[in-house]
Amino acid sequence: MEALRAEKLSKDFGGVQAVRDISFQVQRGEHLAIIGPNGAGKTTLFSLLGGQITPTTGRVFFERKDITALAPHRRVHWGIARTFQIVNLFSGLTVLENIMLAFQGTKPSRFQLMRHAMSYGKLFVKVEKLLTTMGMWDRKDEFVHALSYGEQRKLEIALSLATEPKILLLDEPSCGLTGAESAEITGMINNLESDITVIFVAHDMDLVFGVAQRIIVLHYGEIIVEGTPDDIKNNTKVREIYMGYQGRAKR
Amino acid sequence: MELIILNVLNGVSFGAILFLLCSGLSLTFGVMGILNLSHGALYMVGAYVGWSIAVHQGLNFWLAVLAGGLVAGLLGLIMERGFFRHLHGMINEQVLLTFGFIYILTNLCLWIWGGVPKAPYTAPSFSGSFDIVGDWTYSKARLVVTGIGIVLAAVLWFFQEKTRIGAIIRAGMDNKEMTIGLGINYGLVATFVFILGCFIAGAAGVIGASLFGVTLDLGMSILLLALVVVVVGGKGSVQGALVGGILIGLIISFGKALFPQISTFLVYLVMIVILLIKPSGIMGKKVQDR
Amino acid sequence: MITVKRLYRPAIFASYGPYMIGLAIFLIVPPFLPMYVQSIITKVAVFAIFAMSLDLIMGYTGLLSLGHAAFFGVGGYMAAILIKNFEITNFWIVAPISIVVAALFAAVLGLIALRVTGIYFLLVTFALSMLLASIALKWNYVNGIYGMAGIMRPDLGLAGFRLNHIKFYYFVFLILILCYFLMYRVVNSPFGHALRGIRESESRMRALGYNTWLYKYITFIIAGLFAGVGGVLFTYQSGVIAPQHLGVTVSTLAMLICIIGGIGTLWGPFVGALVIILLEYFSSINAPERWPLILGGVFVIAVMFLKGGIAFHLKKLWNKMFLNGSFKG
Repeated sequence: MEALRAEKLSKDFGGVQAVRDISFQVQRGEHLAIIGPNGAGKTTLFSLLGGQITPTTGRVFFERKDITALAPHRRVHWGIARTFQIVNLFSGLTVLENIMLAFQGTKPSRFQLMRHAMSYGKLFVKVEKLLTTMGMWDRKDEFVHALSYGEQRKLEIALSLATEPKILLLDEPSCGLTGAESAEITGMINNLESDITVIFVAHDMDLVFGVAQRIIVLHYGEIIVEGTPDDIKNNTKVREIYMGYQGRAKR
Repeated sequence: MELIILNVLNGVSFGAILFLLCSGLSLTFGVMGILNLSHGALYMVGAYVGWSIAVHQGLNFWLAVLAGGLVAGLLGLIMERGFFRHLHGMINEQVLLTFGFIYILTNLCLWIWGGVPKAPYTAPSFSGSFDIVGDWTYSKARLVVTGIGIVLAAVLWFFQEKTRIGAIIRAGMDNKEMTIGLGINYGLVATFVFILGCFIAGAAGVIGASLFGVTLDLGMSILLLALVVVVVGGKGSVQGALVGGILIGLIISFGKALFPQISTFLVYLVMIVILLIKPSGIMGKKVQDR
Repeated sequence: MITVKRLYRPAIFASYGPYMIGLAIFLIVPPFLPMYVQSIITKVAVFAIFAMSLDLIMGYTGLLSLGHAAFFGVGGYMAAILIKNFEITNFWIVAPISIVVAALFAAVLGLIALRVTGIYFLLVTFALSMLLASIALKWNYVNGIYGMAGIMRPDLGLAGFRLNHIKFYYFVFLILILCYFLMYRVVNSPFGHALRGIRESESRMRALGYNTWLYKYITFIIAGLFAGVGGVLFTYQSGVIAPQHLGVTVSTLAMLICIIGGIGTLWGPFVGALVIILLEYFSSINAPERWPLILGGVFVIAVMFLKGGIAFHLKKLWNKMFLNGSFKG
């Protein structure tokens, strides 16, 4: 079943086309990776899917319904959650409060003015379960700014999971992590319930090939190749881009 | 028709004066992101210091301008080095602190110079007026202030567009991190700009004394005018401050002529409307949303 | 959930002790104080309500408003208009109308102010409050620059029950407790937690499904409503309401009270109000000419040296004494 479809998405930033004519679709439960060198338009594409920016032309469909003009917070209610490349957490609050906020965001009780926020027992059970599976239950009373970077990255994903999404958009989930921590993230994504669709952007090829069932390669805002991990591995065009890119970076 | 010409003339000259008052505020706001609410108070200190030198001591008027600027600049140095650099990025605290300085400076002026307002003063050669249309006259002092405003605008524009420090300032307003990353001592430049802004405020106090006089409520009234101009013109841009100054000058002079009851009201209204339509000001760059 | 309760409700005395002691002092001591001191602490209670309401938007939501006095002033003016121009003396008619009007103003001005963010929000709120002040200044109906004076303490509508000094104090203090209780419920509710989330990262809140604009708007109105309560009580307490009470001076005073007491806590503003109003009183006895200088000095000290405010340090001290130093927040 189709989970998300992009149709001819383009985005101009003052004359510069960050994303050009992008069309693709994702099936429910599929793990799709979007890769490409820096400046390929990956984060822009993500913000178009998440609703943080609106496309210049083109449309986005969620389960066959047009969500192009839907505000980002409404998309969350529909089941599309995203994480951020640069850790975006509530650093002055505790881990527990962070997760509680995330759970409450899609519940009607989020507008409740008089009842104590920590008195929602059912939510609390869910929080405990999520944090336990993340291995962070014993860190629940720590302030987020006191967490290690690896823990913050994990919490970043935990927050979006707490919105109970159907589609998870992960922007560089292993950015800046060590090999072991990155492997932990890989395991975490693979252990998600099978009906959760995952679209993720990454530079870390271990993560990409460890998680993705299908890969889209972006270059200068356009899709140049789309295929299974094996296709991509053996694709000469992709190698060219990456080798060329690395060659440039060395200079 | 004569009325319109006169009001346009008045408005433009008033605008030039407003530019004089607000250019320092606009610079510090744009370059350092600090909204210095004590800008008007520094103006007032300059006006009082200038009075002591030009009227009380009877010395040269330009010496008074310099002294007013130097005292305000010194106060600015103390503020920046002593306080603001410890409050990096804390907008709330910065605003509150600058408001505290208004109280302190105003009360110190009361202590030193007493509560009786001083009469407007200027250099002897600038006093008096000359005739323009019919029986309308135009004061020389006003013309001189206008002239200084225009000269200052030219100098600041040159400074910002053509000098190295100006280039650093423009780069810093575009992307502060990148500018610092290039190995430029942005902190030093920012301090310099802050002190320059305070200097201009103090000097403007002496120059503008012929029009606004020397009273203890200058601190607030000048601040209001300067804020409005900065909002309308956009922060950190010399051209913006000039355009904003002239626009507000026109609004105030026409407002006073046509609707004397609500001229202050009009000024705030314009400020609010601009903030809603284009918060970065008429001449400012568009701010990135979300 | 029993575990939840145990986790978040430690020993009653250790956590509520300071509040209970404070409450006891303010309930028992005032009758033994001279009359003018009674009216000073009444003023403390009034400004505590006002500053708490500002703390909702400043400390909890992270919006910097330089125009909060607008709603304080509107509440006060409305009360004065009803009493003086409409000759309605019954408190139970005057106060609710005035408070609702203040909240309505907040609802309208909030629509305007919340279109911008950051320092521009500060400037818009500033301009809006000064706009109202400039209207009050020129409007003869509300006595222009002189403001409306000669307002008596409230008549509670019971025969012969016009409040004397001490009764008025208790009345205001009761309202303070009520306001504190209501705001306490708000800031600890899911709604209140969402406000803190917005303060920490608005973009993240949106990505979690929160309509952040609506939260800010509702909070702006709630804060305006409680500021209106403060304004009404101020008019009764001081007997005067004037254009400057709508303006930036009163707004920054409330900001100072919050910062010195501790933003992001509700009893911080109360401690702050106590410190500032008492300082003002002592200065008015000893050095009335130098009060602005002292006030300016307090601004500097509060900002530079009292990070977190007095409430933070008091709580730290208390926790060290009774909770074996296990201290959070």
